Amino acid sequence: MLQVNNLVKHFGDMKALDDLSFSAEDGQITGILGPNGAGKTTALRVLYGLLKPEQGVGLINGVDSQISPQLARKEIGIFPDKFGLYERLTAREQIAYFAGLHGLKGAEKEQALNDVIEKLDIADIADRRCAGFSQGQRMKVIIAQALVHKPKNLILDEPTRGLDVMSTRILRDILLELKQQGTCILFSSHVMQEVAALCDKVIVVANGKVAAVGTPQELCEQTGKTELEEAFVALIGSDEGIAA
Amino acid sequence: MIKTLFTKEFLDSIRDKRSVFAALLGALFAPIFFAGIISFTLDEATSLDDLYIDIENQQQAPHIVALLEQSKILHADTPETGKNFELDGETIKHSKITLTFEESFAEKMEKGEKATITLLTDYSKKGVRDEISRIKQVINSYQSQLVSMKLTARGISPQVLNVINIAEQDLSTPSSKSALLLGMLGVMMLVAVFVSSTNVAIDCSAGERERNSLELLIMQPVTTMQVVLAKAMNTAFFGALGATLSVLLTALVIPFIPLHKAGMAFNFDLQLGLTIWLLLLPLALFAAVFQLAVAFNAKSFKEAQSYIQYTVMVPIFVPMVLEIMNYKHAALSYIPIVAQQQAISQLIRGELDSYMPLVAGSAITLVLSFAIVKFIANSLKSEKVVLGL
Repeated sequence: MLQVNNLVKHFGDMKALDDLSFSAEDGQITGILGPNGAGKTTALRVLYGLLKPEQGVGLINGVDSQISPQLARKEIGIFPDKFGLYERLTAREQIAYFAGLHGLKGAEKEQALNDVIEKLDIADIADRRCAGFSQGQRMKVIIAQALVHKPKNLILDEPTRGLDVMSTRILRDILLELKQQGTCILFSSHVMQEVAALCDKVIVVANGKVAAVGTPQELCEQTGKTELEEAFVALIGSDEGIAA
Repeated sequence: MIKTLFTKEFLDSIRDKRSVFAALLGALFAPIFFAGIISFTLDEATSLDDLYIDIENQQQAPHIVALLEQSKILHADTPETGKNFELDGETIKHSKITLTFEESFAEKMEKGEKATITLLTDYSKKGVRDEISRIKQVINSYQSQLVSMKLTARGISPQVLNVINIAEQDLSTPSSKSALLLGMLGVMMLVAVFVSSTNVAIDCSAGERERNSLELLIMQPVTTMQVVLAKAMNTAFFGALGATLSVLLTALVIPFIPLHKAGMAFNFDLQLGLTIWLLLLPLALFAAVFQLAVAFNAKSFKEAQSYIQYTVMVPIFVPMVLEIMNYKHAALSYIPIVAQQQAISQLIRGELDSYMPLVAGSAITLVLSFAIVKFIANSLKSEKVVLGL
């Protein structure tokens, strides 16, 4: 369960978040849609406890990430918008590092490592150094390190960017499986078909505010459009920042 | 947690060839530089070689020529071009000094008149003054002998000419003669510490940020303090590795340098080596956190690289400025870098009276290092530093 309430944040004179509130429930895939610069990444950074809002709170399973960020972060797996692998570590070492950061040790850690490597089908690259991995392989390693501690919440910031069709399908399958297991999944994207196909709930963000909330179906009905893309444009009032 | 963080940092750095190479380079610096300087000095110091000058009208004063020859000052015609000439198939350097006895030298000497010797050379040439004074010394001692004999012949004691006796006593011991050079050895060891950790410091701060993994790391359930401590320990490890190799190599190289030839005495024994090594360890931590602070606050990897170069200059620059300004203050022995530099140079010179400044200096270095760690940990809470804005 992820929740942000009444977030306000400025960067200089620019208002990045303007009383933004939304929530993502367990066992659902919640999508955040919004044009570039709408405040999606900023809102997520506040939720991680990485940025301090001037007002409002970010809650992870009810834990305020500003007050006890370490405790709150134990409950999430993060797929960041820009991700870098440690090129000189092997995939297994990389995943083990994150498992260690989440407090896993010894046999428990080994078990978690083997589980996630099997789940993502990366045994063939697990002991290779990350330098030279393809974009799809990198994506899998990042997902694996986000999932190794079996978090209740998974946050993905534009995960399908730069992925080929096969990798995107794998990612989609993983997300659906996690949803079945009751994980709360929050992901931001620009790709309308993906959001329409995956999300149980869509939050449309524009200018640091929530413009609309609902299932893709509801958003279409609300705006009288047949396609989510059309509905999105109608909701934010321009066609800026859409990759179809 | 720190163990997990440190293990990863260490693995990441040790697999980075550039980092390892930088540490080795830092370590090799001191002994190689020292060996180079010493052999250069040895050449200079042992140069009481045959001095070749052009002596004109030798027949006017065969005694003086003989005396000059005894003092290894020999005749050779000035070469027409360059400064070298051939003698028995060997190429030999000519001093380009011409000594001329005037035509009537012998005659005037016989009559007891003043006779002239002309010394002709370019006085602005490096080292020529030493050569001239060597020649003058021979002539002057001949002259004083002659005067003494003349006075004795006239029934006057030569004592009347020497009212004042200047007794020259050289206080410089072989140890203190080498003080300056050995002081440089100390500075080189400090530089070794700084050079060895530079690459790791940049790589795990500005580098990690540029590769987009710093933000993700900070998002994990770790405190920035833990992250910084792990990075500082790893960076300091490379500095300490450089220090260790530097001390070891110096200890290995010194017995092979014929220091006594240059009038130097220096015994680099186990105790001295260990003490210096122990002194360098807190400095390695200080250098590491100092460089991390600089690199984290640079906007990019490139910017960090150019700033870090200046941090390497600090251990050379600070002692040099203090030396030039001749500024001395008791508090200096407690400031990081200066404390280590002074302690090492005193240790090497064998002038250390008390271990107090040494221990206190190290303690203060450690305390300051932790203060800087705290500062970096705090600055990592700012988006400006994490995102390099």
